[in-house]
Amino acid sequence: MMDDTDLRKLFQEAREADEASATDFQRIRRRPAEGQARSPRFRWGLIALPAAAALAVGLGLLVAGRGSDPPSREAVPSEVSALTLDEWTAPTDFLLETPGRELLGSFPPIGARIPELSVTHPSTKPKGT
Amino acid sequence: MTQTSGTDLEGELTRLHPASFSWALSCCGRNREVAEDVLQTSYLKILEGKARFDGRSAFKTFLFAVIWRTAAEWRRGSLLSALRISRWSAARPARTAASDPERAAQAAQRHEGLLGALAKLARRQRQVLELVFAHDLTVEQAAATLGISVGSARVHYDRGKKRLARELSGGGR
Repeated sequence: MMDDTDLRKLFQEAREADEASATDFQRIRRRPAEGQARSPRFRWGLIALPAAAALAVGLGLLVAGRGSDPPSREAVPSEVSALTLDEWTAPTDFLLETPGRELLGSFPPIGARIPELSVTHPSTKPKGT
Repeated sequence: MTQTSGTDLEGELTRLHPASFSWALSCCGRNREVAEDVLQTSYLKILEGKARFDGRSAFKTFLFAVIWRTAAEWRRGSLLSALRISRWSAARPARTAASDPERAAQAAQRHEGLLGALAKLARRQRQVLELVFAHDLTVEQAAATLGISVGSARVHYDRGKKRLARELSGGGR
């Protein structure tokens, strides 16, 4: 197992090899013109490429969208839709058919006997009678 | 070195250039071209005042942190991924300065062995170890360079060192 000293020696040796192969400071320092000229282009490339790709995808979607529009409402004949609507009943309509609903929608004939609720509904009988 | 003029800065950068180059190589997956670009950008940042040395740390720590951040910016550039060689195993070994061919060959072999073992470590572990062992920074300075907490740097240092020792002695997982 290697100890710290061995590790340090190994690392130092590797660093010295790197340092020996280092490009001269002034050479790197004098590269600004080259580097700066390339950097904006690189940055523009970073922006322009995704933008162009997005534009191409957008145009593609637009063209594809025009070719396969869903049928518009005008395309369905109006009489067909009216008929369909007229025949349609809600599946919960039966819930509106409450008992005694016919009494609410009509006038009772004069002199007719009013049905005794107490007979039909014994629970409504006053208590103690 | 708290108050720095342009000449002082350039002098310091020149003095630390070989070590900076080695650190830049490490930050850029051992790719020389990218390392030189990163180094140049880092120098420009410092010389043009975009990165300011405030004297809170050693100048070397500051410089290494700028190189590290610049390399991170490069890494984030998606187009760069095609350009850079990210795997250490694919890296070109650096030329050795030894005059004796046999010694040079042995040194190159050790260097490659170290690079191979380091490649098996997590990136943070590798970089903390390099800063401490190759560049003589303390764990605290390594933490400041990499922008992580000292505690975190210590964990990377301990785990990295154990793993590296295992890898180098051929007992890696």
